[in-house]
Amino acid sequence: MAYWFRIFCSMDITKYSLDKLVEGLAKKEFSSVELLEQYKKNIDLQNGALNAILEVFERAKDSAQKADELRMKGDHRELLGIPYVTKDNICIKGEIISAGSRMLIRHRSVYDASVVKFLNEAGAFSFARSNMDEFAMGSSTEYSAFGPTRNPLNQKSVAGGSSGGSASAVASNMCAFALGSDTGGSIRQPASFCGIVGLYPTYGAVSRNGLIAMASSLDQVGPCARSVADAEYIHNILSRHDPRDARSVPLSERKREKRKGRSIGVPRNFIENDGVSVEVKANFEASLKRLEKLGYTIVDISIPLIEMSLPVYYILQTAEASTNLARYDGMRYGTRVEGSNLLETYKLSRGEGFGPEVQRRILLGTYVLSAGFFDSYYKKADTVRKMITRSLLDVFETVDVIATPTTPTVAFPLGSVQDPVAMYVADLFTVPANIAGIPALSVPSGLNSEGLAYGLHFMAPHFCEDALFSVGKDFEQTV
Amino acid sequence: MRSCILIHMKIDIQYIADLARIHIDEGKKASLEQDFESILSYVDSIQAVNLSGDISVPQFAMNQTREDIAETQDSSVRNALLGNMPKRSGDGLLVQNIL
Repeated sequence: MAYWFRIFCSMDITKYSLDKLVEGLAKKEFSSVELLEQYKKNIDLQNGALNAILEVFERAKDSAQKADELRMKGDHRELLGIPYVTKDNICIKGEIISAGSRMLIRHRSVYDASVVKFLNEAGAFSFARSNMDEFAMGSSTEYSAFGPTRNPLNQKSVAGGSSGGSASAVASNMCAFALGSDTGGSIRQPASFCGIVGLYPTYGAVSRNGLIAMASSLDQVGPCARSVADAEYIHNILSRHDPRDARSVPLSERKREKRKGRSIGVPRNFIENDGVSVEVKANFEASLKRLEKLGYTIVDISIPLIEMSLPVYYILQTAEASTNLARYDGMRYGTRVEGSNLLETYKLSRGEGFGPEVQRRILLGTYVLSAGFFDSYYKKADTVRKMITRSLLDVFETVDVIATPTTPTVAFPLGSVQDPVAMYVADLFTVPANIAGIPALSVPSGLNSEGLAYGLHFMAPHFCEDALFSVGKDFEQTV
Repeated sequence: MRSCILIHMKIDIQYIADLARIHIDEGKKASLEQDFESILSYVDSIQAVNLSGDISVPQFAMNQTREDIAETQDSSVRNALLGNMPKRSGDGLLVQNIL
Protein backbone atom coordinates (compact mmCIF):
# COMPACT_ATOMS: atom_id res chain seq x y z
CA MET A 1 0.00 0.00 0.00
CA ALA A 2 1.39 3.33 -0.99
CA TYR A 3 1.25 6.28 1.33
CA TRP A 4 2.51 9.77 0.88
CA PHE A 5 4.57 11.90 3.17
CA ARG A 6 6.61 15.03 2.92
CA ILE A 7 10.07 14.96 4.35
CA PHE A 8 11.39 18.11 5.99
CA CYS A 9 15.03 17.36 5.21
CA SER A 10 16.28 20.40 7.04
CA MET A 11 14.57 19.50 10.33
CA ASP A 12 16.00 16.94 12.69
CA ILE A 13 12.90 15.05 13.73
CA THR A 14 14.91 12.96 16.20
CA LYS A 15 15.05 16.03 18.45
CA TYR A 16 11.31 16.57 18.42
CA SER A 17 9.24 16.46 21.59
CA LEU A 18 6.48 13.87 21.82
CA ASP A 19 3.83 16.45 21.00
CA LYS A 20 5.61 17.47 17.81
CA LEU A 21 6.19 13.84 16.84
CA VAL A 22 2.53 12.97 17.38
CA GLU A 23 1.47 16.01 15.35
CA GLY A 24 4.02 15.36 12.61
CA LEU A 25 2.94 11.74 12.21
CA ALA A 26 -0.76 12.67 12.27
CA LYS A 27 -0.25 15.31 9.57
CA LYS A 28 1.90 12.87 7.57
CA GLU A 29 4.84 15.28 7.58
CA PHE A 30 6.93 12.17 8.04
CA SER A 31 6.15 8.49 8.48
CA SER A 32 6.89 6.13 11.33
CA VAL A 33 9.29 4.27 9.02
CA GLU A 34 11.19 7.47 8.30
CA LEU A 35 11.24 8.40 11.99
CA LEU A 36 12.56 4.97 12.91
CA GLU A 37 15.22 5.19 10.20
CA GLN A 38 16.42 8.50 11.60
CA TYR A 39 16.72 7.05 15.10
CA LYS A 40 18.55 4.02 13.69
CA LYS A 41 20.88 6.35 11.82
CA ASN A 42 21.73 8.07 15.10
CA ILE A 43 22.30 4.69 16.68
CA ASP A 44 24.62 3.66 13.85
CA LEU A 45 26.57 6.90 14.16
CA GLN A 46 26.88 7.04 17.93
CA ASN A 47 26.28 3.70 19.56
CA GLY A 48 29.73 2.35 18.80
CA ALA A 49 31.11 4.97 21.16
CA LEU A 50 28.22 5.25 23.64
CA ASN A 51 27.07 1.61 23.92
CA ALA A 52 23.61 2.82 24.99
CA ILE A 53 21.69 0.28 22.89
CA LEU A 54 22.29 -3.45 23.25
CA GLU A 55 20.04 -4.53 20.42
CA VAL A 56 17.71 -3.09 17.83
CA PHE A 57 14.96 -5.64 17.33
CA GLU A 58 14.69 -7.28 13.90
CA ARG A 59 10.97 -6.61 13.79
CA ALA A 60 11.41 -2.85 14.30
CA LYS A 61 10.84 -1.88 10.68
CA ASP A 62 7.81 -4.17 10.43
CA SER A 63 6.33 -2.46 13.48
CA ALA A 64 6.87 0.96 11.91
CA GLN A 65 5.40 -0.13 8.57
CA LYS A 66 2.38 -1.60 10.30
CA ALA A 67 1.85 1.67 12.18
CA ASP A 68 1.94 3.64 8.91
CA GLU A 69 -0.54 1.23 7.32
CA LEU A 70 -2.89 1.48 10.27
CA ARG A 71 -2.74 5.27 10.08
CA MET A 72 -3.77 5.14 6.43
CA LYS A 73 -6.75 3.02 7.48
CA GLY A 74 -7.87 5.66 9.95
CA ASP A 75 -6.20 4.56 13.20
CA HIS A 76 -5.74 7.68 15.29
CA ARG A 77 -4.33 6.31 18.53
CA GLU A 78 -2.36 8.96 20.33
CA LEU A 79 1.12 7.41 20.12
CA LEU A 80 0.65 5.49 16.88
CA GLY A 81 4.01 4.88 15.24
CA ILE A 82 6.20 6.33 18.00
CA PRO A 83 9.35 4.20 18.50
CA TYR A 84 10.68 3.91 22.04
CA VAL A 85 13.44 2.03 23.84
CA THR A 86 13.09 -0.23 26.86
CA LYS A 87 15.68 -0.94 29.52
CA ASP A 88 17.06 -4.47 29.28
CA ASN A 89 15.05 -5.57 32.34
CA ILE A 90 11.58 -4.96 30.86
CA CYS A 91 9.94 -7.90 29.09
CA ILE A 92 9.24 -7.65 25.38
CA LYS A 93 7.65 -10.87 24.14
CA GLY A 94 10.01 -12.93 22.02
CA GLU A 95 13.02 -10.67 22.57
CA ILE A 96 16.15 -11.25 24.63
CA ILE A 97 15.94 -9.82 28.15
CA SER A 98 19.30 -10.10 29.88
CA ALA A 99 19.15 -7.49 32.68
CA GLY A 100 22.69 -6.56 31.63
CA SER A 101 23.88 -9.95 32.89
CA ARG A 102 25.60 -13.07 31.60
CA MET A 103 23.12 -14.97 33.77
CA LEU A 104 20.34 -14.22 31.25
CA ILE A 105 22.42 -13.70 28.13
CA ARG A 106 20.22 -15.97 25.99
CA HIS A 107 16.91 -15.62 27.82
CA ARG A 108 13.84 -14.58 25.83
CA SER A 109 10.72 -13.02 27.33
CA VAL A 110 7.55 -15.05 26.94
CA TYR A 111 5.24 -12.11 27.52
CA ASP A 112 5.09 -8.33 27.29
CA ALA A 113 5.47 -6.30 30.47
CA SER A 114 2.28 -4.46 31.41
CA VAL A 115 3.92 -1.06 30.73
CA VAL A 116 4.79 -2.30 27.22
CA LYS A 117 1.18 -3.48 26.70
CA PHE A 118 -0.14 -0.06 27.75
CA LEU A 119 2.19 1.80 25.40
CA ASN A 120 1.41 -0.66 22.58
CA GLU A 121 -2.30 -0.08 23.15
CA ALA A 122 -1.60 3.61 22.60
CA GLY A 123 0.09 2.74 19.32
CA ALA A 124 3.77 3.09 20.25
CA PHE A 125 6.25 0.26 19.73
CA SER A 126 9.47 -0.74 21.47
CA PHE A 127 12.24 -1.13 18.93
CA ALA A 128 15.40 -1.65 21.00
CA ARG A 129 16.67 -2.57 24.45
CA SER A 130 19.11 -0.38 26.32
CA ASN A 131 22.18 -1.14 28.41
CA MET A 132 22.08 -1.15 32.19
CA ASP A 133 24.03 -2.03 35.28
CA GLU A 134 23.64 -5.74 35.86
CA PHE A 135 20.30 -6.51 37.51
CA ALA A 136 19.91 -2.76 38.08
CA MET A 137 22.71 -2.78 40.67
CA GLY A 138 24.88 0.21 40.04
CA SER A 139 25.01 3.96 39.55
CA SER A 140 27.14 4.25 36.43
CA THR A 141 26.25 1.46 33.93
CA GLU A 142 29.85 0.31 34.34
CA TYR A 143 28.65 -2.95 35.87
CA SER A 144 26.91 -4.18 32.72
CA ALA A 145 28.21 -7.52 31.47
CA PHE A 146 28.17 -5.95 27.99
CA GLY A 147 30.47 -3.00 28.58
CA PRO A 148 29.87 0.45 30.02
CA THR A 149 27.60 3.09 28.56
CA ARG A 150 29.15 6.48 27.97
CA ASN A 151 27.73 9.92 28.50
CA PRO A 152 26.79 11.69 25.24
CA LEU A 153 27.75 15.03 26.81
CA ASN A 154 31.29 13.86 27.50
CA GLN A 155 32.31 10.39 26.40
CA LYS A 156 35.01 10.10 29.05
CA SER A 157 32.27 10.23 31.68
CA VAL A 158 29.71 7.73 32.85
CA ALA A 159 26.09 7.94 31.79
CA GLY A 160 24.97 7.13 35.32
CA GLY A 161 22.97 4.08 36.28
CA SER A 162 21.46 1.77 36.39
CA SER A 163 19.29 3.07 33.50
CA GLY A 164 22.34 4.60 31.83
CA GLY A 165 21.55 3.14 28.44
CA SER A 166 18.03 4.59 28.42
CA ALA A 167 19.23 8.03 29.51
CA SER A 168 22.13 8.06 27.06
CA ALA A 169 19.81 6.95 24.23
CA VAL A 170 17.34 9.78 24.85
CA ALA A 171 20.11 12.36 25.27
CA SER A 172 21.68 11.33 21.96
CA ASN A 173 18.37 11.30 20.08
CA MET A 174 18.29 7.59 19.46
CA CYS A 175 14.57 7.34 20.36
CA ALA A 176 11.46 9.36 21.18
CA PHE A 177 11.68 8.37 24.83
CA ALA A 178 12.90 5.41 26.87
CA LEU A 179 11.64 3.40 29.78
CA GLY A 180 13.90 2.82 32.74
CA SER A 181 13.51 1.36 36.20
CA ASP A 182 14.27 3.14 39.45
CA THR A 183 14.90 1.49 42.81
CA GLY A 184 17.22 4.04 44.44
CA GLY A 185 17.59 6.68 41.73
CA SER A 186 18.30 4.57 38.67
CA ILE A 187 16.21 6.74 36.36
CA ARG A 188 16.77 10.14 37.94
CA GLN A 189 20.53 9.95 38.46
CA PRO A 190 21.40 8.95 34.86
CA ALA A 191 18.82 11.48 33.64
CA SER A 192 20.66 14.17 35.58
CA PHE A 193 24.08 13.02 34.33
CA CYS A 194 22.90 12.98 30.70
CA GLY A 195 20.96 16.26 30.84
CA ILE A 196 17.45 14.89 30.38
CA VAL A 197 14.30 14.43 32.49
CA GLY A 198 13.68 11.35 34.62
CA LEU A 199 10.71 10.41 36.79
CA TYR A 200 10.29 8.01 39.70
CA PRO A 201 6.51 7.59 40.07
CA THR A 202 4.74 6.99 43.36
CA TYR A 203 5.37 3.39 44.41
CA GLY A 204 2.33 1.44 43.25
CA ALA A 205 1.34 3.92 40.53
CA VAL A 206 2.93 2.00 37.66
CA SER A 207 2.79 -1.75 37.19
CA ARG A 208 5.93 -3.80 37.86
CA ASN A 209 4.52 -6.83 36.01
CA GLY A 210 7.16 -7.81 33.48
CA LEU A 211 9.96 -5.84 35.17
CA ILE A 212 12.77 -8.11 36.36
CA ALA A 213 12.52 -7.66 40.11
CA MET A 214 15.39 -6.08 41.99
CA ALA A 215 13.92 -4.83 45.29
CA SER A 216 10.20 -5.37 45.28
CA SER A 217 9.22 -2.66 47.78
CA LEU A 218 11.28 -0.01 45.96
CA ASP A 219 11.14 -0.75 42.19
CA GLN A 220 9.14 1.35 39.77
CA VAL A 221 9.18 1.82 35.99
CA GLY A 222 9.37 5.36 34.71
CA PRO A 223 10.21 7.49 31.68
CA CYS A 224 13.51 8.96 30.54
CA ALA A 225 12.38 11.87 28.39
CA ARG A 226 13.50 15.02 26.61
CA SER A 227 11.19 17.28 28.57
CA VAL A 228 8.92 17.36 31.60
CA ALA A 229 5.90 17.43 29.28
CA ASP A 230 7.12 14.26 27.58
CA ALA A 231 7.66 12.55 30.95
CA GLU A 232 4.16 13.57 32.00
CA TYR A 233 2.71 12.27 28.73
CA ILE A 234 4.25 8.83 29.21
CA HIS A 235 3.49 8.68 32.92
CA ASN A 236 -0.19 9.39 32.28
CA ILE A 237 -0.35 6.38 29.95
CA LEU A 238 1.48 4.08 32.37
CA SER A 239 -0.15 5.17 35.62
CA ARG A 240 -3.10 2.82 36.15
CA HIS A 241 -4.12 -0.07 38.33
CA ASP A 242 -2.86 -3.47 37.17
CA PRO A 243 -4.13 -6.61 38.92
CA ARG A 244 -1.00 -8.42 37.68
CA ASP A 245 1.10 -6.33 40.09
CA ALA A 246 0.11 -7.27 43.63
CA ARG A 247 1.17 -3.88 44.96
CA SER A 248 -0.48 -1.81 42.25
CA VAL A 249 -2.67 0.78 43.96
CA PRO A 250 -6.31 0.91 42.78
CA LEU A 251 -7.32 4.29 41.39
CA SER A 252 -9.85 4.82 44.19
CA GLU A 253 -7.05 4.53 46.77
CA ARG A 254 -4.80 7.13 45.13
CA LYS A 255 -5.81 9.87 47.51
CA ARG A 256 -4.05 13.16 47.20
CA GLU A 257 -4.79 16.66 48.27
CA LYS A 258 -4.90 19.49 45.82
CA ARG A 259 -1.73 21.50 46.18
CA LYS A 260 -2.47 25.21 45.84
CA GLY A 261 0.71 26.81 47.09
CA ARG A 262 4.07 27.13 45.40
CA SER A 263 6.36 26.55 48.32
CA ILE A 264 9.59 24.60 47.94
CA GLY A 265 11.29 23.08 50.97
CA VAL A 266 15.09 22.93 50.97
CA PRO A 267 16.82 20.65 53.51
CA ARG A 268 20.02 22.69 53.74
CA ASN A 269 21.65 20.53 56.42
CA PHE A 270 21.27 17.53 54.16
CA ILE A 271 22.76 19.35 51.18
CA GLU A 272 25.68 20.79 53.17
CA ASN A 273 27.45 17.46 52.97
CA ASP A 274 31.20 17.13 52.29
CA GLY A 275 30.44 14.73 49.47
CA VAL A 276 28.46 17.35 47.53
CA SER A 277 30.71 19.28 45.17
CA VAL A 278 31.07 23.05 45.31
CA GLU A 279 29.87 23.43 41.73
CA VAL A 280 26.74 21.35 42.38
CA LYS A 281 25.93 23.49 45.43
CA ALA A 282 26.45 26.67 43.41
CA ASN A 283 24.22 25.43 40.60
CA PHE A 284 21.57 24.41 43.14
CA GLU A 285 21.52 27.88 44.71
CA ALA A 286 21.28 29.47 41.27
CA SER A 287 18.36 27.15 40.47
CA LEU A 288 16.57 28.21 43.64
CA LYS A 289 17.01 31.87 42.65
CA ARG A 290 15.41 31.12 39.28
CA LEU A 291 12.46 29.51 41.04
CA GLU A 292 12.09 32.50 43.35
CA LYS A 293 11.93 34.80 40.33
CA LEU A 294 9.04 32.68 39.07
CA GLY A 295 7.17 33.36 42.28
CA TYR A 296 8.01 30.22 44.25
CA THR A 297 8.73 30.57 47.95
CA ILE A 298 11.87 28.83 49.20
CA VAL A 299 11.53 27.51 52.74
CA ASP A 300 14.41 26.12 54.79
CA ILE A 301 13.36 22.79 56.27
CA SER A 302 14.78 20.02 58.35
CA ILE A 303 13.94 16.37 57.64
CA PRO A 304 14.82 14.24 60.68
CA LEU A 305 16.77 11.08 59.86
CA ILE A 306 16.99 11.87 56.14
CA GLU A 307 20.73 11.17 56.31
CA MET A 308 19.87 7.57 57.26
CA SER A 309 18.14 6.97 53.90
CA LEU A 310 21.21 5.57 52.20
CA PRO A 311 22.21 3.07 54.93
CA VAL A 312 18.55 1.99 55.26
CA TYR A 313 18.34 1.60 51.50
CA TYR A 314 21.44 -0.57 51.23
CA ILE A 315 20.14 -2.90 53.91
CA LEU A 316 16.59 -3.26 52.59
CA GLN A 317 17.48 -3.25 48.90
CA THR A 318 20.22 -5.85 49.22
CA ALA A 319 18.00 -8.03 51.40
CA GLU A 320 15.14 -7.92 48.90
CA ALA A 321 17.49 -8.37 45.96
CA SER A 322 19.13 -11.42 47.53
CA THR A 323 15.67 -12.98 47.75
CA ASN A 324 14.62 -11.94 44.25
CA LEU A 325 17.80 -13.23 42.66
CA ALA A 326 17.58 -16.61 44.40
CA ARG A 327 15.56 -17.81 41.41
CA TYR A 328 18.63 -17.62 39.17
CA ASP A 329 20.00 -21.04 40.01
CA GLY A 330 20.80 -22.36 36.55
CA MET A 331 17.86 -24.76 36.58
CA ARG A 332 14.79 -23.67 34.63
CA TYR A 333 16.43 -20.78 32.76
CA GLY A 334 19.62 -18.80 32.68
CA THR A 335 23.26 -19.72 32.62
CA ARG A 336 24.07 -23.15 33.95
CA VAL A 337 27.54 -24.37 34.87
CA GLU A 338 27.50 -28.06 35.72
CA GLY A 339 29.11 -29.14 38.96
CA SER A 340 29.63 -32.59 40.43
CA ASN A 341 26.29 -32.37 42.22
CA LEU A 342 23.20 -30.17 42.30
CA LEU A 343 24.44 -27.87 45.06
CA GLU A 344 27.71 -27.31 43.27
CA THR A 345 25.81 -26.57 40.06
CA TYR A 346 23.83 -23.85 41.85
CA LYS A 347 27.00 -22.27 43.23
CA LEU A 348 29.00 -22.46 40.00
CA SER A 349 26.12 -21.17 37.89
CA ARG A 350 25.60 -18.19 40.16
CA GLY A 351 29.33 -17.59 40.54
CA GLU A 352 29.73 -17.53 36.78
CA GLY A 353 26.48 -15.81 35.84
CA PHE A 354 26.61 -12.90 38.28
CA GLY A 355 29.14 -10.08 38.12
CA PRO A 356 31.04 -8.69 41.13
CA GLU A 357 28.58 -5.98 42.21
CA VAL A 358 25.62 -8.35 42.05
CA GLN A 359 27.55 -10.91 44.09
CA ARG A 360 28.50 -8.25 46.64
CA ARG A 361 24.90 -7.15 47.09
CA ILE A 362 23.51 -10.68 47.26
CA LEU A 363 26.07 -11.52 49.95
CA LEU A 364 25.23 -8.38 51.91
CA GLY A 365 21.52 -9.08 51.61
CA THR A 366 22.01 -12.66 52.72
CA TYR A 367 24.03 -11.46 55.70
CA VAL A 368 21.47 -8.93 56.92
CA LEU A 369 18.72 -11.54 56.67
CA SER A 370 20.70 -14.30 58.36
CA ALA A 371 20.06 -15.64 61.85
CA GLY A 372 21.54 -13.40 64.49
CA PHE A 373 21.55 -10.29 62.30
CA PHE A 374 17.98 -10.05 61.06
CA ASP A 375 16.76 -7.95 64.00
CA SER A 376 19.71 -5.60 64.14
CA TYR A 377 19.85 -4.95 60.43
CA TYR A 378 16.73 -5.75 58.41
CA LYS A 379 14.10 -5.22 61.09
CA LYS A 380 15.78 -2.07 62.34
CA ALA A 381 16.17 -0.67 58.83
CA ASP A 382 12.49 -1.34 58.16
CA THR A 383 11.54 0.65 61.26
CA VAL A 384 13.89 3.52 60.40
CA ARG A 385 12.34 3.50 56.92
CA LYS A 386 8.94 4.22 58.44
CA MET A 387 10.46 6.99 60.55
CA ILE A 388 12.01 8.64 57.50
CA THR A 389 8.70 8.36 55.65
CA ARG A 390 6.95 9.99 58.61
CA SER A 391 9.52 12.82 58.60
CA LEU A 392 8.96 13.49 54.91
CA LEU A 393 5.18 13.42 55.19
CA ASP A 394 5.34 15.81 58.16
CA VAL A 395 7.44 18.22 56.10
CA PHE A 396 4.87 18.12 53.31
CA GLU A 397 2.38 19.64 55.77
CA THR A 398 4.39 22.87 55.43
CA VAL A 399 5.70 22.82 51.84
CA ASP A 400 4.40 21.59 48.49
CA VAL A 401 7.56 20.04 47.11
CA ILE A 402 11.10 19.43 48.36
CA ALA A 403 14.12 20.37 46.24
CA THR A 404 17.69 19.10 46.31
CA PRO A 405 20.36 18.57 43.69
CA THR A 406 19.77 15.25 41.94
CA THR A 407 23.34 14.09 42.44
CA PRO A 408 26.24 15.14 44.69
CA THR A 409 28.54 15.55 41.69
CA VAL A 410 28.29 15.80 37.92
CA ALA A 411 28.97 12.64 35.92
CA PHE A 412 32.31 11.22 37.02
CA PRO A 413 34.99 9.81 34.69
CA LEU A 414 34.68 6.17 33.66
CA GLY A 415 36.64 3.91 35.97
CA SER A 416 37.23 6.64 38.56
CA VAL A 417 35.03 5.22 41.33
CA GLN A 418 36.22 1.81 42.51
CA ASP A 419 35.14 1.88 46.15
CA PRO A 420 31.61 0.44 46.38
CA VAL A 421 30.57 2.80 49.18
CA ALA A 422 31.75 5.83 47.18
CA MET A 423 29.57 4.61 44.32
CA TYR A 424 26.58 4.18 46.62
CA VAL A 425 26.87 7.80 47.77
CA ALA A 426 25.94 8.90 44.23
CA ASP A 427 22.36 8.03 45.23
CA LEU A 428 22.41 10.29 48.31
CA PHE A 429 19.60 12.61 47.17
CA THR A 430 17.51 10.18 45.15
CA VAL A 431 17.12 7.34 47.64
CA PRO A 432 14.77 9.10 50.14
CA ALA A 433 11.97 9.10 47.55
CA ASN A 434 12.26 5.34 47.07
CA ILE A 435 12.38 4.73 50.82
CA ALA A 436 9.12 6.65 51.30
CA GLY A 437 7.51 5.58 48.01
CA ILE A 438 6.93 9.20 47.00
CA PRO A 439 7.28 10.51 43.44
CA ALA A 440 10.38 12.41 42.39
CA LEU A 441 11.53 14.18 39.24
CA SER A 442 14.93 15.22 37.94
CA VAL A 443 15.08 18.19 35.60
CA PRO A 444 18.25 19.45 33.85
CA SER A 445 19.55 22.62 35.49
CA GLY A 446 22.49 23.61 33.32
CA LEU A 447 25.94 22.53 32.18
CA ASN A 448 29.35 23.06 33.73
CA SER A 449 32.45 24.30 31.93
CA GLU A 450 33.22 20.77 30.68
CA GLY A 451 29.74 20.38 29.23
CA LEU A 452 28.56 18.02 31.97
CA ALA A 453 25.03 18.37 33.26
CA TYR A 454 23.55 19.34 36.58
CA GLY A 455 20.13 18.16 37.68
CA LEU A 456 17.50 19.60 40.02
CA HIS A 457 15.50 17.07 42.01
CA PHE A 458 11.97 17.55 43.27
CA MET A 459 9.99 15.29 45.59
CA ALA A 460 6.24 15.50 46.24
CA PRO A 461 3.74 13.62 48.43
CA HIS A 462 2.28 10.31 47.30
CA PHE A 463 0.35 10.57 44.00
CA CYS A 464 1.18 14.27 43.61
CA GLU A 465 3.08 13.84 40.35
CA ASP A 466 1.11 16.84 39.05
CA ALA A 467 2.95 19.09 41.49
CA LEU A 468 6.26 17.78 40.14
CA PHE A 469 5.26 18.33 36.53
CA SER A 470 4.03 21.83 37.30
CA VAL A 471 7.20 23.04 39.03
CA GLY A 472 9.35 21.06 36.59
CA LYS A 473 7.80 22.72 33.54
CA ASP A 474 8.13 26.16 35.12
CA PHE A 475 11.77 25.56 35.96
CA GLU A 476 12.58 24.07 32.55
CA GLN A 477 11.73 27.33 30.86
CA THR A 478 14.34 29.22 32.87
CA VAL A 479 17.26 27.00 31.86
CA MET B 1 29.63 2.58 64.84
CA ARG B 2 29.23 -1.18 65.21
CA SER B 3 26.96 -2.60 67.87
CA CYS B 4 28.76 -4.34 70.71
CA ILE B 5 27.49 -7.70 69.48
CA LEU B 6 28.85 -7.24 66.01
CA ILE B 7 32.09 -5.40 66.59
CA HIS B 8 34.20 -8.43 67.49
CA MET B 9 32.97 -10.78 64.81
CA LYS B 10 34.92 -11.23 61.61
CA ILE B 11 32.72 -11.76 58.61
CA ASP B 12 32.85 -15.35 57.41
CA ILE B 13 32.54 -14.73 53.69
CA GLN B 14 32.58 -18.41 52.86
CA TYR B 15 29.66 -19.06 55.20
CA ILE B 16 27.63 -16.23 53.65
CA ALA B 17 28.53 -17.37 50.15
CA ASP B 18 27.39 -20.89 50.98
CA LEU B 19 24.09 -19.52 52.29
CA ALA B 20 23.71 -17.47 49.11
CA ARG B 21 24.69 -20.43 46.93
CA ILE B 22 27.44 -18.50 45.18
CA HIS B 23 30.87 -19.90 44.40
CA ILE B 24 33.63 -17.40 45.26
CA ASP B 25 37.16 -17.98 43.96
CA GLU B 26 39.77 -18.13 46.72
CA GLY B 27 41.67 -15.28 45.12
CA LYS B 28 38.67 -12.96 45.37
CA LYS B 29 37.78 -13.62 48.99
CA ALA B 30 40.18 -11.12 50.56
CA SER B 31 38.99 -8.14 48.52
CA LEU B 32 35.38 -9.21 48.98
CA GLU B 33 35.89 -9.31 52.75
CA GLN B 34 37.39 -5.83 52.62
CA ASP B 35 34.45 -4.50 50.58
CA PHE B 36 32.04 -6.19 52.92
CA GLU B 37 33.62 -4.63 56.01
CA SER B 38 33.55 -1.22 54.38
CA ILE B 39 29.88 -1.50 53.39
CA LEU B 40 28.86 -2.86 56.79
CA SER B 41 30.68 -0.03 58.55
CA TYR B 42 28.64 2.37 56.47
CA VAL B 43 25.23 0.80 57.00
CA ASP B 44 25.97 0.19 60.69
CA SER B 45 25.20 3.88 61.26
CA ILE B 46 21.55 2.91 61.67
CA GLN B 47 22.44 1.25 64.97
CA ALA B 48 22.67 4.73 66.48
CA VAL B 49 19.05 5.55 65.64
CA ASN B 50 16.71 5.66 68.61
CA LEU B 51 13.53 3.82 67.65
CA SER B 52 10.94 5.98 69.33
CA GLY B 53 8.26 8.39 68.28
CA ASP B 54 5.41 8.14 65.81
CA ILE B 55 6.09 5.71 63.01
CA SER B 56 2.58 5.43 61.66
CA VAL B 57 2.59 5.98 57.92
CA PRO B 58 -0.21 5.58 55.36
CA GLN B 59 -0.11 2.35 53.39
CA PHE B 60 -1.33 2.81 49.84
CA ALA B 61 0.24 -0.26 48.29
CA MET B 62 -1.23 -3.34 49.97
CA ASN B 63 -0.57 -6.87 48.79
CA GLN B 64 -3.53 -7.85 46.65
CA THR B 65 -3.95 -11.42 45.57
CA ARG B 66 -5.97 -12.81 42.71
CA GLU B 67 -7.30 -16.25 41.91
CA ASP B 68 -4.69 -18.58 40.46
CA ILE B 69 -6.54 -19.50 37.30
CA ALA B 70 -4.78 -21.48 34.60
CA GLU B 71 -5.04 -19.74 31.25
CA THR B 72 -4.60 -21.58 27.99
CA GLN B 73 -1.67 -20.25 26.02
CA ASP B 74 -0.75 -20.95 22.44
CA SER B 75 2.12 -23.30 21.66
CA SER B 76 4.54 -20.42 21.03
CA VAL B 77 4.54 -19.59 24.75
CA ARG B 78 5.22 -23.19 25.68
CA ASN B 79 7.98 -23.43 23.09
CA ALA B 80 9.52 -20.20 24.36
CA LEU B 81 9.56 -21.53 27.92
CA LEU B 82 11.14 -24.77 26.76
CA GLY B 83 13.62 -22.81 24.68
CA ASN B 84 14.83 -20.97 27.77
CA MET B 85 15.75 -24.18 29.58
CA PRO B 86 19.52 -24.67 29.90
CA LYS B 87 19.29 -28.42 29.33
CA ARG B 88 16.35 -30.50 28.24
CA SER B 89 15.33 -33.81 26.90
CA GLY B 90 12.28 -33.41 24.68
CA ASP B 91 9.84 -31.43 26.78
CA GLY B 92 11.57 -32.37 30.00
CA LEU B 93 13.91 -30.14 31.96
CA LEU B 94 17.10 -32.03 32.76
CA VAL B 95 18.65 -31.52 36.19
CA GLN B 96 21.07 -33.51 38.30
CA ASN B 97 19.52 -36.08 40.57
CA ILE B 98 19.45 -35.33 44.26
CA LEU B 99 19.10 -38.84 45.56
